[in-house]
Amino acid sequence: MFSQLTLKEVKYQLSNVTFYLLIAVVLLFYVTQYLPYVQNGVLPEPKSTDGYYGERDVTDPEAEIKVIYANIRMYYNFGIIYKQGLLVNKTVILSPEQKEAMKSAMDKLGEFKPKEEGIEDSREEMTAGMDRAMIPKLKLDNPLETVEVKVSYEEYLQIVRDLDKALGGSTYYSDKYRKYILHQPMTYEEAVKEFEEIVAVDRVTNAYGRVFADYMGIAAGLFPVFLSAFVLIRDRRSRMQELIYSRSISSIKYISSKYLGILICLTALYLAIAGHATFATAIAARNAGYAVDLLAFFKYTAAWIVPTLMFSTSMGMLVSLLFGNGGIAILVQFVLWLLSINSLGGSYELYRNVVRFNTLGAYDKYMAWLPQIMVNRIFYVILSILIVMSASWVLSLKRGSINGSKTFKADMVQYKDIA
Amino acid sequence: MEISIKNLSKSYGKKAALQDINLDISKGMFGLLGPNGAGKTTLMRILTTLLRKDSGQIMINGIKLEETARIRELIGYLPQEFSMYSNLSVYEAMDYLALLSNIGPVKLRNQLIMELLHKVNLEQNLKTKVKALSGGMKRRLGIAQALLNNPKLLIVDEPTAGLDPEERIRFRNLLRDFSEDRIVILSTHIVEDIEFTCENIGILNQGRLVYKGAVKDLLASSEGAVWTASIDRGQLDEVRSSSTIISSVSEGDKVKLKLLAGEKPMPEAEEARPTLEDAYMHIMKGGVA
Repeated sequence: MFSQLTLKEVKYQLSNVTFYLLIAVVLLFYVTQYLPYVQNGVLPEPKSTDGYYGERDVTDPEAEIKVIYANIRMYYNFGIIYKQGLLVNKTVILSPEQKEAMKSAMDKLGEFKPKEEGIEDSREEMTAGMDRAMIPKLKLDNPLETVEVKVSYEEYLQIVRDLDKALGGSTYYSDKYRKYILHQPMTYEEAVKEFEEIVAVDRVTNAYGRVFADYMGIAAGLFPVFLSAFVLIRDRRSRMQELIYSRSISSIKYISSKYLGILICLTALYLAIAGHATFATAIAARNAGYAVDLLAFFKYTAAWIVPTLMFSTSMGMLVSLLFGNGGIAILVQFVLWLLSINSLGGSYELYRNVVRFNTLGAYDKYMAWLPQIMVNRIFYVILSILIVMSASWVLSLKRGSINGSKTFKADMVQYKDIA
Repeated sequence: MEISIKNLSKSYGKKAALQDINLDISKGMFGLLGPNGAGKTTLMRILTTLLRKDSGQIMINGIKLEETARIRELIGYLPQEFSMYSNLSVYEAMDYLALLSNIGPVKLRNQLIMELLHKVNLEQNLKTKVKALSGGMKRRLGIAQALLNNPKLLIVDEPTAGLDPEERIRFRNLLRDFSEDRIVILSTHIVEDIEFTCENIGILNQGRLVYKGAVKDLLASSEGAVWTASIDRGQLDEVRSSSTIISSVSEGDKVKLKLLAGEKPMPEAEEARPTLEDAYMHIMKGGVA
């Protein structure tokens, strides 16, 4: 009977307009965020003549100073800086005083000494007003080769902290956010090593599977709440509470069947998209002559995305049940989602219900972060089950106080309605 | 099968909805009568475990009301406002509610649903959306869903409100048919519904049970309190201020009145045989049963 109730919820969701809107949004994420990775084939083998091979995290203190120097110099020339915001970065136009602070920090940190004549002029000319992501493709100066450091690491830290203060805080020079800009160009040798890892260890599709799970997880962390926040509100809107609550079905069975029904629909959607991603990626990979792991996308969907779906679905149900309002559930989920997605990878604290790994390859990093990711995912599976149980408990209380409220005013309104 | 209610009270804030109710109900149809706001729905909701009582004790078939899981297996409920998910057909609605009553497997459920829909004359409407049903058909579906678990206690709250006279009679007959071997509590403010169906009644007024017992005893208690008289129109205001007028009918220059009075209210008055409505009015105006 439980399975039949669950199937009824599945059937309901399949006729629910909101579910189809959710499918459209998730597909949009997939098409715009993931598919571009494989549209023009996968994983070109690096050649020594390429010049630019992508970026990697900075690990050397001197390299860090050089990278930060180059960053300050670039934005000094732009006349703007970006600040970390809750949802999106804020762009701030530099005042003369702030520009002076930038210049002073630069002068203390080091000196720009290009090996080739004329690179400075072209750099300023070419990068003015351009998207930062485009800059590496312009084969501009490599800060590791063009910057001469003049300070110790401790002095550097003080300088960037002071600069952050002078710029009003929350800049990428602060201790909190500096890690987000500490990338340096990869060498040809590093690029070859990474390429070989992706082919041999990750069998191509695993590396792509992680990027897929990263982007698709973002959608999974928010949009399911639009279904789950209204699944129990629906009973009240349809004025069916009395009919349902007076029946012999247990609260846990009732809540679980609704929960599972939604989860089945969402999981099926994600697995279907994972199936397409497998197809699109594996074809491209096999055309390039690589062996692939056909289960990769399904593995990452099940292990990374499903716990996120479980949480956002259960949370929506509980909050909507507690407040009798789907809007509050959406708001709560939105805040939790914002807290989860503001890192591109490497941050897997237990308050983050979305696993971010916005890098293709980086197998070493993945292995280093895997224990944290596993703990995070197991935590969310257990938490989701506990939330569903809590929702059942709340429902069992509500079943004994139909339209009930603890406040006197609401009680009086209720009395007028029903006595 | 018996319901025993002892010292039941329920308040909403400072407003007492039910005060110290004591009532025993046994097999058959039991009418719960009272004006709007008397506390009937509150009592129904407490019996169906939808509201918690503040104090008192209720036993249904020897089971404490607090054992909600067991109680819910015993009861069938047709709420005052019967409503379903709008996209469901008659059959789908019954099937869904049967699942919520833990009825299975599919074959048994199907058979049961078809039997009940046949009894309420809806077997031709299996695929009709619930939202497309008329008021009377909806009520019939409501009673069919309330009987899904073959309840020992069937509770129907204001079942005939909004129905035309023909549907009302049909629905009352339906309820009477289902009252064999179980308790049916019919809550209503329409006296006529009770008059033709129930042997025993309870009358609630402002949260208090002002009468409990047999309909015939209630009628007997009002004998000598109901009078008819034909008076001049000019006397109407005077009579209205001294007696409770139950009904008045114009007859040319005269008005024929039915009124409540402890003794003969005027020389031309004649004692009338009380109907249930008269007896109800008598009780509500403070008469002693």
